[in-house]
Amino acid sequence: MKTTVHYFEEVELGDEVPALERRATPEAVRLFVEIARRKNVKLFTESEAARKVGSSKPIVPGDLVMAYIAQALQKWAPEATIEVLDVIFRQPMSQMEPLHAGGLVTDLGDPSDGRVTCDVFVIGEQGDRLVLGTAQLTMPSKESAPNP
Amino acid sequence: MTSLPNFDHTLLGTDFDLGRVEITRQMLDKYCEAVGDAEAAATDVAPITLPTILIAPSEFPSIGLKHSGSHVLATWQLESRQPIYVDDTIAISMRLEDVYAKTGRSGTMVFVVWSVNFSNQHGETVALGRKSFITRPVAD
Repeated sequence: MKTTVHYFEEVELGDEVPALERRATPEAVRLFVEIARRKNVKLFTESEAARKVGSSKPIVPGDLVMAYIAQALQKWAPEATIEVLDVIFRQPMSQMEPLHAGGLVTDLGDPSDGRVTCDVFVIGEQGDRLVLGTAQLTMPSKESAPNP
Repeated sequence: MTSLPNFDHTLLGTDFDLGRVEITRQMLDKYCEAVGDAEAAATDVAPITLPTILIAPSEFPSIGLKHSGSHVLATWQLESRQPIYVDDTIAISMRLEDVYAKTGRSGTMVFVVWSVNFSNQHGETVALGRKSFITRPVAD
């Protein structure tokens, strides 16, 4: 598995986007809900409220987890531009739960458009896919890279 | 099985102006700290996911939905059209696209779908979004 790719030509169908592990701490979630100007934050701070959506612990905002997916893609392909990120939140995610954000290349354009399509996901500690979706990236071609 | 949700149907297709948000260095730094993205914090370009925090849930227009339960994020589709930079001022508008119900084993769930347009101070669309929420019966 290639941990990093820089050019479109290095990517092949079926390549994996290496999983990025993140644990959302209560402090990170508090900061996130503050900048997101959330007023009703009980789901993110109180276990009792989180139980109503099926989690035993305060949950992680889906918007925050979406950022983990973008980071996994960007770490794998630092020169890529993420054009589209499209996700479905299937289950609530608990704070401090190890979350693994990753992906798989499912379609490729050609060097002239540099388009790379990936399935993306976030896997929880029980192995469940908690978030599913797709991403579309564009990557530079070796042909268009400046000569050294 | 589906049923028709009870809400203000006249709002379907209506555009709502949610005002403007300035992208400050401090906002970007805090966002990057919260999501653990040190690399993005070192630049003046916002990560593609920054628009997710620009709409406070309390600013969502009320649609008069008569359906009780827990209210959670269901889907988010974000399309980046242009980079968003520190010191940009982003105008946000939303449109109510759809409201529909589905009934499953746990009861009836109502989905509310919004489209979102983010444009910068030059009037250029920088991102498009489609965001849906689900109101579902409270878990046992």
